[in-house]
Amino acid sequence: MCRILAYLGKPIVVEELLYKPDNSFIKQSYHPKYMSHMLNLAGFGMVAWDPASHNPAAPFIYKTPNLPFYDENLRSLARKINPQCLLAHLRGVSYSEKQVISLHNVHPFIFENTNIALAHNGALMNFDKMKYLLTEFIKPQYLKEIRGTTDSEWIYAIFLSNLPEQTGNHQSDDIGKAIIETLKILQHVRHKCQIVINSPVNLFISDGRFIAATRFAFDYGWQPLDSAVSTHFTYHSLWYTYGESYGYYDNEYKMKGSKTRSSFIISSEPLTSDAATWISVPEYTLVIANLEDNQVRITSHDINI
Amino acid sequence: MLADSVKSALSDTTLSQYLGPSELEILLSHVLIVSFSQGDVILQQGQHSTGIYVIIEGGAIVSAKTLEFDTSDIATLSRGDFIGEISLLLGEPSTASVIANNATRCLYISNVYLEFLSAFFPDIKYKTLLAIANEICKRINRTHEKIVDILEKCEMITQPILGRVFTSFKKPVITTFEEENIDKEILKSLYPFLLFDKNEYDELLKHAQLLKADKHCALVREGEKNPVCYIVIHGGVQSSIIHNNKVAKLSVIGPNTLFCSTANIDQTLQSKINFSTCENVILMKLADAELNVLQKDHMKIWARLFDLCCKSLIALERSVQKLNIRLNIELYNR
Repeated sequence: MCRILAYLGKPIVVEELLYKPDNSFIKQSYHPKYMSHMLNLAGFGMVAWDPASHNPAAPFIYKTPNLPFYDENLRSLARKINPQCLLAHLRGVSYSEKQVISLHNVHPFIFENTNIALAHNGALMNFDKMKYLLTEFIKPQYLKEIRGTTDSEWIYAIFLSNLPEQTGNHQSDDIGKAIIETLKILQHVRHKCQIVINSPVNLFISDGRFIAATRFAFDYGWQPLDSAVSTHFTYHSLWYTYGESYGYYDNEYKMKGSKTRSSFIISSEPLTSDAATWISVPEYTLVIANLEDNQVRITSHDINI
Repeated sequence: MLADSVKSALSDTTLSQYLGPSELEILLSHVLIVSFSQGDVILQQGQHSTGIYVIIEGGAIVSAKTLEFDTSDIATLSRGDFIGEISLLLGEPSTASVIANNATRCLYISNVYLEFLSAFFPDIKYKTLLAIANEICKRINRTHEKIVDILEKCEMITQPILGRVFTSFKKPVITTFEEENIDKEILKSLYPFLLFDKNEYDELLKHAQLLKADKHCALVREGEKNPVCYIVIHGGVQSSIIHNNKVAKLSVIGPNTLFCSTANIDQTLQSKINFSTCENVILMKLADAELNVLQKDHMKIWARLFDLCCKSLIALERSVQKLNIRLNIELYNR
């Protein structure tokens, strides 16, 4: 299990999201409210876009395979940076010596010469069986960029291979189509490899002007009845909230209630224990939030593949 | 004297429609009467309810923090209405606060007392839940009307004709535990089957039919009048509202979950919700006739099944409410 947080809207001091709320993102690494039997201790990464920064289309990137709650540098940065868009990821893996804990496996992934990042919460069961067949769906320039051992980086490479342009201003339609195409390729290869085991794929994708997120699982509900409990034998959660601005209002952290939609958060779990102003995204759904004239426009589509 | 005044306060309420005078007497013998002044919080949003309140005098306002407004009033409750039933039965925090809007008196049926009823007077507990479930079904249908209104007006993508024809031809087929390689002993150790003791479990299996179905197979269609329960063993089932070929998806029901339609509570309330498979599935079906036999001859099994039906309807109500909110804030399938 991993945890993901994405923010789009009015510039916000990152500390307000990562550290301050009672179920803050960093707290979710050692005390997640949902799926609390599995901690997220295998690394932290974030990409953040600030329009006022040098080369605003390129994000600020910070990644560490270490425990984020002991990271003084991260706390200092979080107090300082004030982006318009943020994509942050906590990596959670099974407690096994076979797991590879390294910087190359920390999300979000963003390849050289691209301006679009991806983070993944989920796992493709028996992924090793799929790798060889997946290579034919990945453009050579992306295949050579894969440096880590995660299924997520391969999903990212397939997604990029299905975009019409490597960089530039991506249209929502193109993003949506590339995501669906990526899922179809994975489905096709799973079918060829005869893999029929529940595999959740919650993807978060952003280029600083939009956030796209999926709540999806392949072969939902199919795992051996006597299998050991696994965090990946379920549908992973996905929540969002929107409003005028996120912060400390009326003695609690929340989105300031308003008809104005100038701030949007989508994440694996709400940032506060009180989830009253958060909406749970239904299963098999793609949500895309775009920032247009300082207003967030939310669209959603069923994923029918 | 107290019981008489409470009984008269409960006359014409949903609860008294389901409980006979002697049953009401038993219920009232162990409940508390709780008084609230104007402005008192009866139930706080975000807190777990420890019992069910039934208003016998006065009234209350239901208010909730919502996305676009800090707090807004969403309903007014009066004599006979239930408070805290959803939170208690689902075991989840309350999604709204309930505040007395004048001097208000309520019956308080604690969770402990409900368990006591379950053990010694299962029929009374069943009828109490039936009264609650009936209210839930009416609320589902009212929200359904609002959703249909939105679907009528919005330009949503419609379901292709080929897909509709394809779904209508698909039917579940009967299968066996051996064929599907399902170990009954392992299944017995899983929810919801672990709620039944060995004899009850064996009896339940005698009345159930094991089915398998491909993806996109309709299980319960809108307009269904016959009660039926399904328990998902493998795969997933999608609930949805369909209007003018526009499909608005509600939620997915996964393994180890029982689901049913509003027809299980009141056959005059035809199901407004469609249930179809969204993955290949293995299901256990309890048909109308078998449910009747269980209710007549195996009250304990029936009562447990009915508890699960109530939970499934509460989950359905939440999904319907969530869809109503989403349709107002998202551009869904446009």
